[in-house]
Amino acid sequence: MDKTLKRLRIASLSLGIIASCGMIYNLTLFTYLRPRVLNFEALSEQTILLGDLTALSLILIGVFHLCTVITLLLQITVQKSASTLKVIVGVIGIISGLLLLSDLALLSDIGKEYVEGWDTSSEWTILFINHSLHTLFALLAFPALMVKGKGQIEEIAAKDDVIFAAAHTTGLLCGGIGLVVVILALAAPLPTWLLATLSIPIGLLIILPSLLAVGVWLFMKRREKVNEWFDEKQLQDISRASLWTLALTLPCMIAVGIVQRVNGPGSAWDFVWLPLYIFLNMTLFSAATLYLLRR
Amino acid sequence: MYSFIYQERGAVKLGNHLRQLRFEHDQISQQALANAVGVTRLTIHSIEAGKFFPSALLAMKIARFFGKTVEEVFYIVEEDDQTTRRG
Repeated sequence: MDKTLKRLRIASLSLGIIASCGMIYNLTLFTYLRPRVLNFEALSEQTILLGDLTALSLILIGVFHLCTVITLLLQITVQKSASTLKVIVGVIGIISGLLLLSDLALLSDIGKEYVEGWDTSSEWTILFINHSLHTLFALLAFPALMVKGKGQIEEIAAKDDVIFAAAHTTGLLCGGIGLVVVILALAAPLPTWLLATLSIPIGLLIILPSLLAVGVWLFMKRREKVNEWFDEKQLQDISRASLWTLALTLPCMIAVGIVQRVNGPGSAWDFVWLPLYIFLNMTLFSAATLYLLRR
Repeated sequence: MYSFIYQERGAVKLGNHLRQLRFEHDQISQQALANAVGVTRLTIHSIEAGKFFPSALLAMKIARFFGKTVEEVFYIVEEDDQTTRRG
């Protein structure tokens, strides 16, 4: 397994260099194309061909995302080599990787709407935001990949705490990102129809890394009986964390309920209360568990 | 000299000689002890640091691992009698 991981790490680093060139290419081309497409200027055959190459570039970036996330996941689960940076990169990698699909859809939309003569400024904005996330992932992935895994450690833990901590770190990050997104959506403020359309897919996208982390943890526990999943301190920690979460979530949600009643039906709160509740729970529960775990 | 790490719960405190005993047993690591008694390394660390009370079952498992009685590993210290119960 060590050899496989070493090869994967090297492959991820090599792909990272190629994918970074792809990102630079995409951003340069988008910067060149954006004003021309918005002004409905005629595009040459060469420019269109260069535009088609962004699809290839996106595929390369996608493979880099996939390879890096798998490498980091294996380093954490098999080599028990977990760090906050690796977890952060893993979370950003999953979100950024899924957004590559939206890049392809956005580019397709821009192409069609340009032909129809429609405004594409909002699509360009989302495309640039997505690419900022891809760039952030690449920037963080390099230092995370540079750190070698510890190799098979001499003392294998019979009761693992690395995956448990990694799952909660992921939960804290996803919950935190979700809370920031909800607060920004309320502060912007986004139109209600947009919130109604986007709240579920974006919420699922943000929760996905956390679900994956819990899935990995459950997979590691598949051969243990349910009452052996936690040791007694972990059980005490999650019990206390649950109580703290309940105590803190209740007043917050009562406040949200009051605000929702005051604003009446059809307000933005109708669409954000559920994501807000889920992200608040995730953040508080994971933060409290991590705090108690390291006490 | 025995370690004197203890935890407060009301008027009594719970001390333990875990660190001392680990060193007396070929400097066994926290991970090895954790594996032997079926808990995580962090749990052993927390018990040793006096931040977590083990259950009676876990205390017995730890004592049995070292070939001692529970009282030889863990001890109760009265608030005003901290020095008299050191092992």
